[in-house]
Amino acid sequence: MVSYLAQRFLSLLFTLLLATIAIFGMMHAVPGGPFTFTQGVLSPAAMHNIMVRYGLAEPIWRQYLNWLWQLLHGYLGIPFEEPTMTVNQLIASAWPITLIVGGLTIVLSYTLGLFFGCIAAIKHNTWIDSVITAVVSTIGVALPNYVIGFLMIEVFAVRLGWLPVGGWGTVEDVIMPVIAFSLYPMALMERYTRASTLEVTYADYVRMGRARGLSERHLLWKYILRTSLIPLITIMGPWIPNILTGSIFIEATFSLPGLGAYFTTASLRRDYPLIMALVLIVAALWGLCFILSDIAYVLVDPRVRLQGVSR
Amino acid sequence: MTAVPVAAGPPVPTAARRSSDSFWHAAWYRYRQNRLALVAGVVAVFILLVGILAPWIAPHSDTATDLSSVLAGASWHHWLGTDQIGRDTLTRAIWGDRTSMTVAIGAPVVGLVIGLPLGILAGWWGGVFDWVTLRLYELFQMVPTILAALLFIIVFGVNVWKLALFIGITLWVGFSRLARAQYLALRERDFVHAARALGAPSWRITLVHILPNAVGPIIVFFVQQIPYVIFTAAGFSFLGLGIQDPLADWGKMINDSVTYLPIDALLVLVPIGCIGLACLSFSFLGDGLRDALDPTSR
Repeated sequence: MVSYLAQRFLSLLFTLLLATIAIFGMMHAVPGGPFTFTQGVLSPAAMHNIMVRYGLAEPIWRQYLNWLWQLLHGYLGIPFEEPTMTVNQLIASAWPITLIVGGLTIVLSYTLGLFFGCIAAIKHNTWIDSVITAVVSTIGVALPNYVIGFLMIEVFAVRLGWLPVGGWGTVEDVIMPVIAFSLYPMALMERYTRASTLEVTYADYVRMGRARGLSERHLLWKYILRTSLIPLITIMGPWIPNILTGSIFIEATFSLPGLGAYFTTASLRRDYPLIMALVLIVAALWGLCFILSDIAYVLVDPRVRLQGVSR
Repeated sequence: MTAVPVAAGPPVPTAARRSSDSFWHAAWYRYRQNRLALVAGVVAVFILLVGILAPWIAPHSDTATDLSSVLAGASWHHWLGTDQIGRDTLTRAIWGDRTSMTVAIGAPVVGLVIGLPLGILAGWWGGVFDWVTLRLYELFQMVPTILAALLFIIVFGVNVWKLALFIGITLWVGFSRLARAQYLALRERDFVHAARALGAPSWRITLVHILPNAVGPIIVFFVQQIPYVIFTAAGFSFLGLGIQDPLADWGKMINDSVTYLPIDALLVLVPIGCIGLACLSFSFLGDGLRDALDPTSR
């Protein structure tokens, strides 16, 4: 177990290293720099001072090593667009908002998805099943979340005036982003729950249990749901970092001052330190959750051994 | 022994063609039974046609501004109103369709062109090549697709073709995985052994014998990517990172007019409706094709 975990973590670190080198190299390979347009009128000497100030005058490999060295000390540099703050402070102020929306989204979408999935599977081939499946696959899977977001803004904020249009500060601000953001993961959850529950429902050991005279409720809770939920860990686990790092589109739709907004502005202004930090956060969380979901899989399902998990 | 060289040529292709003929007939039959998919297919074709014919069917010029009727609202002259610099919304939506469809078809083509050969080689040859390809999949999975496309846009800038290229690059893993799985499953089948026994070269077996058998799921996957690409491309434009003026795009229409939502809701509702309709129709088309072409997948 320990050696397996060590191996996974090492390969994660290696991948992160490769990814950051690639991104760092790519960003710097393009002609022009972050200050070419904003401070282009400055004299070459002044420009050189700015470059030195942000460590951009050194060769690229040196810049990367500097960045890595700072990273090992937990320091992510100074964002070009807000020189009075550090990247750490910027992320510390923005991420909680994303985390709140993301956390609520996970709770809402996973519970509702699980609930609807189970209902649809239990009522298989009835009108309840077809209604749930149709609604979920339409609204949840096929419609982009920002499309639903704008429809909600138009109806509930502009027409009815029940909820604020967007922004951050009051409790009501959370409602619409969370609902719009939840629909897609909820639909995924519903689909997988339904499929895996159905698979178990017709399994021999369930039929055997029924033959032995176990009550339907007992069968459902002890025999069907417990086994059917196992695949969900590997399927839905990797979704968690996706939700926690926020949806760029949802945050833009509801003008939330979260991480997503920085993705956009940092991209537009070529803010190297900020981009690197954001990419690192997303990739690290992503990799960690992959490992964690594999571990959870082993803990929940005694039939799986770690040696067999190496995909 | 003497009969072998004679049998190497024609018989195999004709047999393959006949069986695939009946396969496509059966698939078309299954597809027609699915009414939702049929309607979705018609709508999808309509959307594609509008995009292709945009220069001829748009009622106004797509870039002409009319400052005397800014944010004019729906009228007989401008059916869906005008935007903040007096461009006809219907015309912009039709031209936006053209942009969206360019990216929506172009991106999966890019993914297919990169992913298919790699997947075929990995599935057919196996060994070291397969190992390297699998590691590549893992590496590319580490970065979420939207983020990867965003990074390309940051680094290399953007226009319609670049947008298709960048989103397409993020799609290659899916195509490649699918092709690899198909080839792994098919390469031990009897018809492949037969072809090999008859002395057919590798390239001929992979392209002429196996590919037609693997093409169904690949088509399904291709169509299923389209709604995702529409969503992503319009999303980037909506953030201001995608299509730039004077080109029309649904996502950019939202971006431009979201501040005017209380004045004229049509400005936002029209592009949103277009994105929604396009995503829905291609999504149901994909599901219908899956049920028709890949009956074992359910």
